[in-house]
Amino acid sequence: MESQNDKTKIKIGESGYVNKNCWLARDLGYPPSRRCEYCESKFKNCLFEQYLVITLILVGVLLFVSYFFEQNISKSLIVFLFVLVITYGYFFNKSTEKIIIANFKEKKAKIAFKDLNNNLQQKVDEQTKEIKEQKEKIENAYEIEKKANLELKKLDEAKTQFMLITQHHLRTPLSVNMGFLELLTDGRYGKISKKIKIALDDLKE
Amino acid sequence: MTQQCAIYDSRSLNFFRAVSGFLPLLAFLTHNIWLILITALLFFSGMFSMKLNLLYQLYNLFSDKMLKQKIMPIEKDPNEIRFVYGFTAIMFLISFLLLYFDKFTTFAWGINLLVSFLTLLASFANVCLAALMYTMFKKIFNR
Repeated sequence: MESQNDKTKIKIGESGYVNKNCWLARDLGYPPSRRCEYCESKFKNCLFEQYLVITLILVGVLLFVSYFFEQNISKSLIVFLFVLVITYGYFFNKSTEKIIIANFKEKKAKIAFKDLNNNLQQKVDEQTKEIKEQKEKIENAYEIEKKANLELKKLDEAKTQFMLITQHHLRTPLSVNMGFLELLTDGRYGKISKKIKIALDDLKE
Repeated sequence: MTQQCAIYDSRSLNFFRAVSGFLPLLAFLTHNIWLILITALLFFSGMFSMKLNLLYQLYNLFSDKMLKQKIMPIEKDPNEIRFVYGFTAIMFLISFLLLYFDKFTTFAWGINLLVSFLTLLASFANVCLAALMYTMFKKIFNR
């Protein structure tokens, strides 16, 4: 036993699906035939009901015309009509069922493709956003590094300046001292003992 | 709204319809009115229970044991089956009685052929006029 509430959860194409647009299926509470599980049309658009009505009208008209002209309806005509209508009905049923199912599958595939497309777009957007964020981070890091580099260069220049100045300040008195030492060892200020000379030479070196 | 439904084998149902649609046609071609009575009785037996529907059970057994076919399930309201079979049986019975008592024979053969035609259509084209009538009656009487 199945309740109507359970049936509302069944999707189109699944066993037991009830087409809510068709009053026949809705009133019965189950699909009148297997093909109706794939159908969403209204009852007035149902090809099979149209086929039934038109067939009955045509058969009636044909029998009436036959009786009107020949005052008799032959057995062969009846058998011919039966065979024609039933054979046509059989293949009409088969082919239409195939078309209905194929249409349903095509529709389903289109929806799935659309979903996939949307998902793909969403993924691309997400990844683009991520790449932009990464790029911004890298740019920020580059700027910081550039500034640090400049600071480092300034420091290096300051260090070089300091070294030059220090060198200058140290060399100037030393050169004077060295000059006087040279004069002393050369004997410009008088003779010096051998011991003092050795000591002065050691000092020069 | 709750509804009691039963599962039937679609192939067996169609086999029953095909045979019981072909028998009245054969009755018309051979002018054997007893075939109409047999058809009416087949429908009457099916009306009470599917277990009593000999042709349905025969095909079910044949497809299961011999053809090894899987059941092709179709959901139906047993009341719909009862109405359709009962209505068809009554139509065939009226046709048989008229022919048996030799009254309105053309009309009787007409009914016989029309019902046979609709039964064969239901079997081969899967368009059942009686099911449509059942739904209309159900709607009218709000059952």
